[in-house]
Amino acid sequence: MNLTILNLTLKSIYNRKFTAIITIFSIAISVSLLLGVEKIRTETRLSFANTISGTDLIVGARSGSIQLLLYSVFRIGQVTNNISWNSYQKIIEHPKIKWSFPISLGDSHKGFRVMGTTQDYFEHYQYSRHKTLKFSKGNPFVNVYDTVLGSDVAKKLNYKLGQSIVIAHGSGEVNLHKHDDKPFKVVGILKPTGTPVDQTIHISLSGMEAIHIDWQQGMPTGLNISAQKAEKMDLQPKAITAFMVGLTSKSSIFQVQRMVNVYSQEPLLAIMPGVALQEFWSLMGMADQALWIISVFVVVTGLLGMLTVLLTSLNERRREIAILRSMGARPWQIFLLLMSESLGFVLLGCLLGVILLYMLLIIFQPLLEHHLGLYIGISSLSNSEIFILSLITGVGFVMGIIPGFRAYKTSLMDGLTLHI
Amino acid sequence: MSLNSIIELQQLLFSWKKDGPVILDIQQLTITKNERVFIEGPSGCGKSSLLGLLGGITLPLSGNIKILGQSIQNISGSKRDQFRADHIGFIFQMFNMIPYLSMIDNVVLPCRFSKKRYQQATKKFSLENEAKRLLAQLGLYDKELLSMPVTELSIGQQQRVAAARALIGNPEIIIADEPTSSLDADNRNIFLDLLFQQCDEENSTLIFVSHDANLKHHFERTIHFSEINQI
Repeated sequence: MNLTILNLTLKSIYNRKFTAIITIFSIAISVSLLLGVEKIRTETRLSFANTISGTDLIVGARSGSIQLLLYSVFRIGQVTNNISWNSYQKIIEHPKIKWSFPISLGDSHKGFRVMGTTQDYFEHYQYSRHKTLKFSKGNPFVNVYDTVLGSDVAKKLNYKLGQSIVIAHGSGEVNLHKHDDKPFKVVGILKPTGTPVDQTIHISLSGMEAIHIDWQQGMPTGLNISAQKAEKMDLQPKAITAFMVGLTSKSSIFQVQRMVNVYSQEPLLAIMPGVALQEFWSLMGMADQALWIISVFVVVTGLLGMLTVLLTSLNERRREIAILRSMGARPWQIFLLLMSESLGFVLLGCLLGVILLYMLLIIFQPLLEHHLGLYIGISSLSNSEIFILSLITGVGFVMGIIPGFRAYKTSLMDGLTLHI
Repeated sequence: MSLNSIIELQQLLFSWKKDGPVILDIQQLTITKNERVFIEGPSGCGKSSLLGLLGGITLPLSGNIKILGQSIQNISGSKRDQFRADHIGFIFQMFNMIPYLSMIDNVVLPCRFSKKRYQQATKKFSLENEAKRLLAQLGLYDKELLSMPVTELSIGQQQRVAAARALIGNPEIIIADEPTSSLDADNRNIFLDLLFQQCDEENSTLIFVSHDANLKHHFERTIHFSEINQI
């Protein structure tokens, strides 16, 4: 008998397929928006938190700590100031510093950032709970014009070991100036990490120095020093963008940080990556909370739309209810008829919303990764997402009580009187 | 009380609200098995209220309603619903169809709410074939008609589908509330003939309510509503 009600519900929905599809779609879109915001919120946090691990301090020119974190680790934003090679050398003499590696940014290749560093980088850089970089092919750079590619760079540009590439000046997709007199040879390709490392082209600091040897203030001087000639010149860099530091013990973090921050030769800033990340999130918190609240309201609007549709249909269905009553349908079955309809709308809306979400993720994941360095993992629904879905279903269920109860009352009041 | 009585009303008082005006005051009304009763009265005189009482949808203020030997004011709401499903078939004035169901699905619907009627309907044929048989008896045997949406049938055809639905599963009582008032004279006569024929075949008692006094010559017994209702 309850199967009869379910059957009636399905046929009645099918009969009004146009309205039903629009209602279900509006719920689906709102659901995928809410889940999308939630997904991006948690995934960016996870992705950011997983990008750097094991590094105790990042040191750069004095600016904002968030800014330093963003450009040194996430390659987001522009570098404002460099620090001198001398200061770098002086600071790492500190006995508590166990290891360090410098980074030097500013150039690019086909939209991918080029980063100058030393071999220590491949040994000490850690991501996602103490994982170190691994090579899928080749080795770290040895010679001046050697380069190591992040996995995405190799995959997207289809580069192989031994290939030669030209680095462009500046970081845009389109570059006016190219260092085409000094091509680099691919000697290594890294395994995927799910961090901005995958999007990075690594060269040695001396390579970075060599391609800029005949440049001044960001422009070629016209001296035209050949690649071979440059290799033999003094390639000691004069400046770097930042450097990362590992300490002998965590307890000396504040001591070293203070030493850097009060360094008298040059205005420097040392940050703890975790702390800076927290600061960043508290700054972003307002924005993503606002986004979250808006999405919640969109879902509520979707559900209210459904309620409107159901309540409007109720008037047209008074005759139907009276006919069903005359055949012996119980008032609670009439309640169920309307209730299962709203539940059907909400469940189908959620299902379609989830499908929509995954479709959007599949489409936008590579774009986000390439343009923002954000790695959004496509995984099965998390507990919090399942919680959100059940909450929406619950709210839809409660909303369904309204037309259900009105139908119930109608069925009792109208009896067999058929309103036209 | 006669042995053959199917419906028996005694000292019946009814009003919509507990302390509202009394609408029905019927001392005595008996309808016997296989009777075809025409209840005549102008609209708004309380005929629909009486049908609600007979169907067990509403309850009287006082008095006794005995249907098939069962005093239905003494049983619970859901038992009354079940009683109605098992024993009474309704036909209304118009728009009798559930718009989103096919013709066959409309006809078999009462059997979904009543096991008894399902069993009786499937004694000889499958449920669908029984529906088709009834529809054919009522002059709707066209295959094209069967596949049409019920909302596209003419009113005369819709009323015949409603009759088939009331008759399926052989309920003891058929209650028809102004079923012919939206039909023209020709269709009305065809409809009445078919309805009578089927009620005879199925041994159903027919209670036919209308304001149209011209119909009474079709019936063996006419009750003037104003004569039984003392309000």
